[in-house]
Amino acid sequence: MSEFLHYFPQALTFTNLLVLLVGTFGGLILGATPGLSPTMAVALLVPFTFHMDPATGLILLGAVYTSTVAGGAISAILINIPGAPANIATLLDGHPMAQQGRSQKALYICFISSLIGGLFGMVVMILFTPPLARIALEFGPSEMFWIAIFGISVMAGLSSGSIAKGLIGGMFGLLISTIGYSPLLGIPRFVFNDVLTGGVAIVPALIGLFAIPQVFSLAEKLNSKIVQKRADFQPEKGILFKTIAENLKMVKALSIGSVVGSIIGIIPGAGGQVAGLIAYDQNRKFSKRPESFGKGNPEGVAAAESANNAMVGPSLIPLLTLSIPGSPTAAVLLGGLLIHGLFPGPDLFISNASITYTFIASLVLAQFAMCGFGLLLSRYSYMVMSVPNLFMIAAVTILAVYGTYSVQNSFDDVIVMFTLGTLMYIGNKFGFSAAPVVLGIILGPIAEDNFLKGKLIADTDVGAFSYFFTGSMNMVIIFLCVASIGYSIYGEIRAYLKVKAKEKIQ
Amino acid sequence: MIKELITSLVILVGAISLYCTLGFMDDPRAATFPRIIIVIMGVLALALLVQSILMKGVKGKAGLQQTSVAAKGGSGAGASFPFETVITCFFLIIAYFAVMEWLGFYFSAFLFFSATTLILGRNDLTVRKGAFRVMAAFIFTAILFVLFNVILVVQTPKGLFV
Repeated sequence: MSEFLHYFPQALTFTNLLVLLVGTFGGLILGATPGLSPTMAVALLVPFTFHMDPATGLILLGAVYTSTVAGGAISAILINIPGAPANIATLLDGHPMAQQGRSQKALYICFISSLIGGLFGMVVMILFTPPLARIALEFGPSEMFWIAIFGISVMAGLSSGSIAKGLIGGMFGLLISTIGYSPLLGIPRFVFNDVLTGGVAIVPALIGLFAIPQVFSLAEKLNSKIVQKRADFQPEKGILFKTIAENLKMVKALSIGSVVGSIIGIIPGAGGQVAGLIAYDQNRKFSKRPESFGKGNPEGVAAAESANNAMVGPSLIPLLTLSIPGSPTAAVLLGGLLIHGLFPGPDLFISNASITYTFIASLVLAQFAMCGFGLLLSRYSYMVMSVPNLFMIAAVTILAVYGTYSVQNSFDDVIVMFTLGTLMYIGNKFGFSAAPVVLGIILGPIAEDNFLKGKLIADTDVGAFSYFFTGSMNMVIIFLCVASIGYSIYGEIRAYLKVKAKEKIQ
Repeated sequence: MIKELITSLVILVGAISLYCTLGFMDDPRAATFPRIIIVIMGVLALALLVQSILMKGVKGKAGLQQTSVAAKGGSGAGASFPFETVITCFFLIIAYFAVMEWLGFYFSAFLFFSATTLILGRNDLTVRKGAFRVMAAFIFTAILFVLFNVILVVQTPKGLFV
């Protein structure tokens, strides 16, 4: 805590504050724009941080990460489309409120609850991250190797309907990370074309895998005859202070949301979607009027939004300490850390304490900026919904090309980006998800490096099996890997049996 | 079922082909890690194959598989796949890449933005809408130019123009 307070003023420099405000404002708009996912928004911004100092770059990414989650509630409330999976629970009562002509009140409740939940989550993050980082200090190559595998297994279960496909995606990502020269021996691997000589860099992969499928997906919807239900937006005057007072009285909803969001956030891979839905459900169960939920009860919005924002801070705990991102967007943030030469773990809090604590401080400030801008934007948020998909297709493609090219001034990177993106789009059609692939590419070098180091140690000592499969910490992480995969398999079997039983009844 | 079968077979064939290329590496030690990954991929492809056979005939299985491409936005579920639009979009991007180094980043971006909005949106195109889209392309490119070229001085492909 003392380090946090010591470095707090660094987040308040003119440049950092400006970047924070621009990032928060932009993040809210990106989050609210249907068709742009928060993960893609953060991925597109990563190359822009190259020209900034690491702390400032991370502040930009952190501000966008925080505000896109809250911004996603705007489209959930106004047009019944969650801006991010984390906002699914918000639309259950948010959209009915909008249909009843209470859009602005729903948006106000959303941003105030987001602030309260977000701040609670940040306190949890500040208290728990450094001690966990100290535990990571004990990790050797075998533990680090298993941690990388655990990260991939978590993301595989989180992002795909099928754990087998998620794991194949993760392995594909690991394989992509081996393209180029072998790190220890300098031998070329899988260099089938000159374009691949330098390997696949993180930024082209991030942008390609997240942005290009989105471009094609937007193109698919161009001639869609499906009419999106858009609630009539009716600005109401003079309700801000009344709504704040009303919102602050929702102690139960805000407490349930904040606590559930923080707990779910710490669990790697659980994500804001789960946090929002559990908090919503618990709040309904504890309510005196459970029948009013789903029909425009403001407490439903408060619980869901406080939960999905409370999740943001704690979801960075496993990321900053163990390199395990809690969500696809956090995986992209991990890429942002690595390209600035910052490796998650205890070192982040010792050698790079200044950057890390400035980043954490900026995340706290971003909560206030997000709430302030959100309340201001509420009156005009319906305008964001009007951006045509045609413009989004062109703009996202141009930004993706620019972002990729500017990293190394290499047109080869642009080709790699587009090829990976097109393959990912086809993969999406077959049920594959980008997040495990990205994590495989990011964690690949960490996994291989530690695997080879561990193997060298093992060959001269106890042997590979004993080195990698014994020892309490190894066993704990292996157990977590198995539990993560096992739980996903259990979920799939349960869903399969449910469908089968339904078909029998029919 | 067929889709899953094709997926697992393609991955399996891909994994076997990649495994074969490992033998051509100058030092076998460089292939240790990729070899393990490829073997695991092959095993997972087999698992997917078994899973698809065991779960065959479940009509609602699509509900078990979520694709992440469209986390938001109402996709045209149930509608026929707009192959022509997607393939046009694909070739527009390829054309953009082809001229980018020749015409320069900003000019080609302007052309790409205009062409995309005019060609993909040709169904409801009028003179007024066309002019608006070209104007939007110009404003977007101008903002990029001022931000990246003038303020941030970032290097971009320079061709006949900028």
